[in-house]
Amino acid sequence: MSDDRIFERNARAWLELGPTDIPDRVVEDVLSAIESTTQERDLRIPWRFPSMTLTARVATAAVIAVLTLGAGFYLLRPQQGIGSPGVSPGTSVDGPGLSASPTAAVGVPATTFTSTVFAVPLSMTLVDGWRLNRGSGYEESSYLLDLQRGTVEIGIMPIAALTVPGATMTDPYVALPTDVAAWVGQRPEFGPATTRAITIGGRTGTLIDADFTWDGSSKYTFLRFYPTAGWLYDRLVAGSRARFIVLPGPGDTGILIHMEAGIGIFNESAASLDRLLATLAFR
Amino acid sequence: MDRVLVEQARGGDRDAFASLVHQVSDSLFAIAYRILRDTGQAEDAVQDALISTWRQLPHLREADRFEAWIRRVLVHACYAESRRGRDAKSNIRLLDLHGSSTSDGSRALADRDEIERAFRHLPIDQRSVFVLHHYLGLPLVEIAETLGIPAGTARSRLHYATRFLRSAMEPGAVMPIEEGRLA
Repeated sequence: MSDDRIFERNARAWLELGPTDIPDRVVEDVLSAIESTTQERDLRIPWRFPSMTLTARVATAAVIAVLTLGAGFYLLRPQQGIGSPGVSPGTSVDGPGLSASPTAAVGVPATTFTSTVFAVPLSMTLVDGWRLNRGSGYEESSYLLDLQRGTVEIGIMPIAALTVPGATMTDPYVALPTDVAAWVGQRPEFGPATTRAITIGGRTGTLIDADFTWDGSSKYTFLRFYPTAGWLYDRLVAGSRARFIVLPGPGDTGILIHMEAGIGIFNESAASLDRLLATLAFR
Repeated sequence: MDRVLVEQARGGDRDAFASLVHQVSDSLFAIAYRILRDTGQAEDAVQDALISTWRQLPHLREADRFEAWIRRVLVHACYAESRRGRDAKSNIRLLDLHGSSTSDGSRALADRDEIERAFRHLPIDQRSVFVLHHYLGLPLVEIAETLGIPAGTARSRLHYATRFLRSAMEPGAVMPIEEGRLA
C-alpha cells in the first residue's frame, strides 16, 4: 500500500473517532430560540424606479450623494485620543510610529508595570490597552513576559534563555544566534526580512520584520526556552508577519521582543507596539 | 432530505423546521466537532448555524440544495467560533519534556496524538476542506460548491492540509502539545 493510501486510511480512522450525537439540550435550546426568532423576509428591492420622473431621479441621486459624502466625512474625521500617558525620558524608537503620541485605548487607563519576576529588570507603561496576558497562565515568568492587546500578543524573553531550530529537522536546537536577522533570513519559515536599527530604553538593537510562509517541512516551534526546554514559543501562523526586536544588554540582560500579527493588522499593531516600547525602561 | 419539510420551513412553519433540526443536528455536530476539535465550540457552532439557517431560510431558492446550504452555514459558524476561541487562547505552549512512548501497542495511540496536535495547527479553512473530504467523503467539486469557493482553492487547501499533517507525523517532527497540559 502506498504512503498516500496509508495516510488517508489513518486520517479517516482518526476522523471517525469522537462524538457523533449532539446532546439533547443543545437541540432543545435551538428549538426554544427558534420560537422567538423571526425569519428574514425575502424582499427584493427594485433597483430602478421606472415610474419616477427625471426630476425625481435627479433629486433622489442628489440626496443619496449628500448622505454618502456626509457619512464619509463623519467616518474619516480625525479621532481624539483619550488619555495621554507620558513617555519615559531618554527612550526613543526609530522608524514609523516615532512621531505618534502614546494613546490609551478607550476605557483602558494606562498603568505602569514593573515586573518582579522576569529575569531582566524592566518596567513600562501599558498604553493602548496592552496588558499582561493573564488568560494564558504564562503571562509572567523569569523567561517570559506575555502581553496582549486584542488578538495580538507579544513575548519579551531573555536572549540567554532562548534556543532556536538548527538547520534541519533533526538538528538540535541551538542558542539564539548573535545575528538574528541572518538567522531569520536563512530559515525556510520566513519570507524576505527587512531590518533596521532601533533604540529602546537607551539600548540600541535591531528590528526585523518578516512574513511567515511556513513551507511545511521545517520546524515551526521556533523559539524554545533553554534552561528546562520545558517552554516553547509557538506563534507561527502562515499568512502572518513577525517582528523581532533584539536588544542586547550587559551580562545576561539582553532581551528579544517578538510580535506576530496578521498582515492586515500588522502596521497598526506595530505602531501600537512602538508606543508601548517607547515607555520601556531597564532598571 | 425531505423537500416538503424544507418548503414548509421556508414558509415559516416552525414544526417543519424542528423536524429538519432533528434530522440534521447529529450530522452537523459531528462535522463541527471534527473541524473545531472541541465539544463546547462544536455545540455553539451548531446552535448558531441552525438559528442562522432558520432566519435565512426564506432566501434559499432551491429546496433541494438545503443540505449543502446548511453545511455552508455550519462551516461559517465554525470559522466564527474558531475566531472567538483563538481570541481567548494564548500561543504560548508547554512542551512535553518526557515525550510519548512509541513502542509496542502505543504507536497507534502516538500517531493519533500526533495527528490531533498537528490538525489543531491547521488554519480553519484547511481543516474544513479536510473534514468534508475525508470524513464526509465529498469530492472536491462538491466541497467547492458547498463552501462557495473555486475548486482550485478547495484542492489547494486539501493539498496543504495533507502535506502539513504528513510532515508533522514524520519522525523528528516537533509538535507542541495542548495548552495547559503539563510536562
